[in-house]
Amino acid sequence: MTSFLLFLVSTMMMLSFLMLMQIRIINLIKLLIIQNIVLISYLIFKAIIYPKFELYLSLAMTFFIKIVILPWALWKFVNYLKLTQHIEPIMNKPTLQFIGILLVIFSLLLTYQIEPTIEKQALASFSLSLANSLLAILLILFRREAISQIIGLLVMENSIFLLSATLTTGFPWLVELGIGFDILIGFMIFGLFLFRIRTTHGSFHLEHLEKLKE
Amino acid sequence: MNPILLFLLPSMLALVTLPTIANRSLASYWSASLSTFSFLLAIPLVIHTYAHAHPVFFLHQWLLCDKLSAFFIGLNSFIAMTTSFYAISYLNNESHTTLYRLIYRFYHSFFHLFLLGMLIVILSNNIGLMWIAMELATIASVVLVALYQNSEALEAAWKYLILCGVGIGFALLGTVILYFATYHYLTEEQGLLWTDLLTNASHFSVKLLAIAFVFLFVGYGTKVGFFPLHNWLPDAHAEGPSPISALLSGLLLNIALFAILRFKLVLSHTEIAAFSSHLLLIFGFLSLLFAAFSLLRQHKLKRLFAYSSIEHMGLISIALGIGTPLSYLAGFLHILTHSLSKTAVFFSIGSILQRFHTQAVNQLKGLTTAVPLNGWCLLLCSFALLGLPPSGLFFSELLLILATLKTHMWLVIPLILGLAIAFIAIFYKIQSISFSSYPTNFHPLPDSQQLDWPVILHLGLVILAGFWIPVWFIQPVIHLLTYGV
Repeated sequence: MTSFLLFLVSTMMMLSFLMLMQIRIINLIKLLIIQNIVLISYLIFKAIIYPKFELYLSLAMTFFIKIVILPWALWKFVNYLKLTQHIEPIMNKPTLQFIGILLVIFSLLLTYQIEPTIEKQALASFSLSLANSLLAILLILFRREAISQIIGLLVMENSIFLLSATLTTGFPWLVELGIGFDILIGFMIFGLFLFRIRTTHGSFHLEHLEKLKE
Repeated sequence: MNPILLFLLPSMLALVTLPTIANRSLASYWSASLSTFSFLLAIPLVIHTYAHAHPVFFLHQWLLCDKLSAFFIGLNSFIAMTTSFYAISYLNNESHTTLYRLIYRFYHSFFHLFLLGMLIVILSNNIGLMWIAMELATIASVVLVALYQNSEALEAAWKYLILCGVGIGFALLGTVILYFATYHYLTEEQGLLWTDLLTNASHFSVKLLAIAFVFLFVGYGTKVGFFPLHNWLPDAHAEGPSPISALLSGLLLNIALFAILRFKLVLSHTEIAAFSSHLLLIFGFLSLLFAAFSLLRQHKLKRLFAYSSIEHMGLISIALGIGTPLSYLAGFLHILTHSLSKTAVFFSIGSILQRFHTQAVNQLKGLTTAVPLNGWCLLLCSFALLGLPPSGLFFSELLLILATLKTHMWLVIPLILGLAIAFIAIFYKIQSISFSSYPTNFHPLPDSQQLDWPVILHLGLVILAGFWIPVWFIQPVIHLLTYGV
C-alpha cells in the first residue's frame, strides 16, 4: 500500500514535468485537473490507511475546492476566453527539462540532510513534493503568459497540500479551512484580474505587462 | 470583555458596515471614525500589556498580545487612523469617473480588510493563522493597488500578486515543515502555537528548523522586499493610490519583518541562533546597498521613496540581525520613526500628484513657492527620513552604527556607504524640485482640509522622537527580545 502511495506522489511530479513541456494552454489546464485528481486519490488512500478525523476533513475540503470548484471555474474560463492559442516557454524545452531534473536532485539531497528525523516512507514523498513545488516555480518563471503563471501557482499549492499530507496528518482543521478559503479567494481575485487584463489589452501576453521599468 | 476582542471590534464592524454604505462622504467619515475608535481601544490594550508581566491571550491562545505585538499594535492603529483621515480629502479630490461608486465602496471595504489582516498577523500566536492573515492582507492590498484599473496599475498589481503569491507559498511550505519538526514533541494544536514553539524549541531537530526558517525567510522576505525579491515593491508603491502606498510602505513591510522576527525568536533558543542572524544581516546589507544605488536612477517621486523603503527595511533587518540590546533599540526606534516619516512623505507626494498631475522629478519645479505648505512638508519629511538631526531617524541610524561598531567593526563601511549614497540621491532630487523662481503650474484642489495635518502631526512626532527618544515605548520590547518571554 505504501508503495502505491509513493507511486501517486511520483505521478504528481511526472505531471508537473509534462506541464513544463506543454505549449497549449488547454493541455496545461487538463494536466492540472488530472494532478488534482491524483492528489485527491492520494488523500483517500492515506485516509484508508490511517483513519483520522483531520484527514477526512482535509479530504473533504480538498475535494470540494480542487475537484469541484477549480475545474469548473477553469473550464468556464477556457470557454469564455476561447483559450486555444499556443504559448512558448522562453527557454528551449530540453534545457528546461534539465533544470527540472537538477531541482529534483537538489531536493533529494536536501531531504537526505534530515534523514534521521523522518520515517523512510516519508523521505521519498517529502523530497518529491518539495521538488514538485520547485517545478511549479519553473512553470511560473519561464512562461510569458498570465494564465500559465496562475496554473503554476495552483501546482505549487497542490504540492504544499501534498507535503502537509505526507509529513503530518494535516493541520488542525480550522487552520486548514482558513488556508483553503484563502486559496479560493485568491483564485477569484486572479480571475477578476484576468478579465481586467483581457479587457484592457486584448490578450494575456505578458509583454503588455512589462512597461514599468526603472 | 477580553481587551483583544474589544480592540478588534471596530475593524470587524467596518467590514460589516462599509460595503453597504453608498454615500461617499458618509463612508469616508465612518471609516475614519472607526479607525479612530480602533486607535482609542488600542491604547488600553497597549497599556495593559506593558503593565503586566504576562501577555493577554484570546481564543484558545490563538491570539496573543505580548509586548512585541503591543508595540506594533500602537504604531499600526495610529498610522491607520491618520491615513483614513488623509484619505477623506484625497478621495474627494479624485475624479468621480475613475473612482465611481462601486470602486469607492471597494476601496473602503478592502482598506479595512487590509488593516484587519495586518492586525491579526500581529496578534496571532498560531503560525497557521498568521499565514492566513498575511495572505488576506496581501489579497486585500492587491485589490487596492489595482484600484485605478489603468494598464500601469494592473501591471503593478499583477506583479505583486504573482511574486507575493510565490513568496507566500514558500512561507506556507516553511510553516508546514516547522509544524512537522514539532510533530513528535507537541500535540496537534500546540505544534502551531508560537509560545509553545518558543519554550520547546531546543528539542526540535536543528536541520528541520533551519530548512523551515529558510523557507519562511524567503516567503515573508518577499513581502519585506529583500533584494533579489523586491521587484513588486516599487511598482506597487508607485501605481496605487497614495494612502495605500503609505500603508504598504509604513506598515505592511514592518509586519512582514515582524513575522520573520517571531520565527527568529524561536530559533534563538536553539544552537542555530547565529544562522538566522546571519541571514538577516546578509539580506539587510544586500538590500541596503542595492536600494542605495537604485535610488540614484529614479526619476519618479513615488518610486524614489519606494526604493528608500527597501533601503530602510535593510537597515532595520541589519539591526535585528546584530541582536544586541543596543541594536534592538536602534531597530525599533527606526521602525517607529521610519513608519511615521515615510507615511508623511507619501501623504505629501499624494497631494503633489493631485495638484501637478505628475510625479516626474524633472517636470516638477519650485514646490516651496507654488504650494508652500505642501512643498515645505515634503522637503522637511524627506530630510527627517534622510536622518538629518533633530529627526528621530538621526538617532536610530547613529545607534545602529554604534551597535555595528561594537560587534562587527568592518561592517560599518558598507553601512555608511549605503547611507551616504542614499542621502546624496534623495537630497539631490528633493532639493531640485523644491526651489526655483519659476514654479510649475498647478491645479488648486477642491478639498485640502485633511491633507496637511496628518503630515504635520507625523513630522512633529518624528522630531519629538529626536529630542526625547521614546525609550519607555521600546524598552519593554527590547527586554522581551533579549531575555525571552
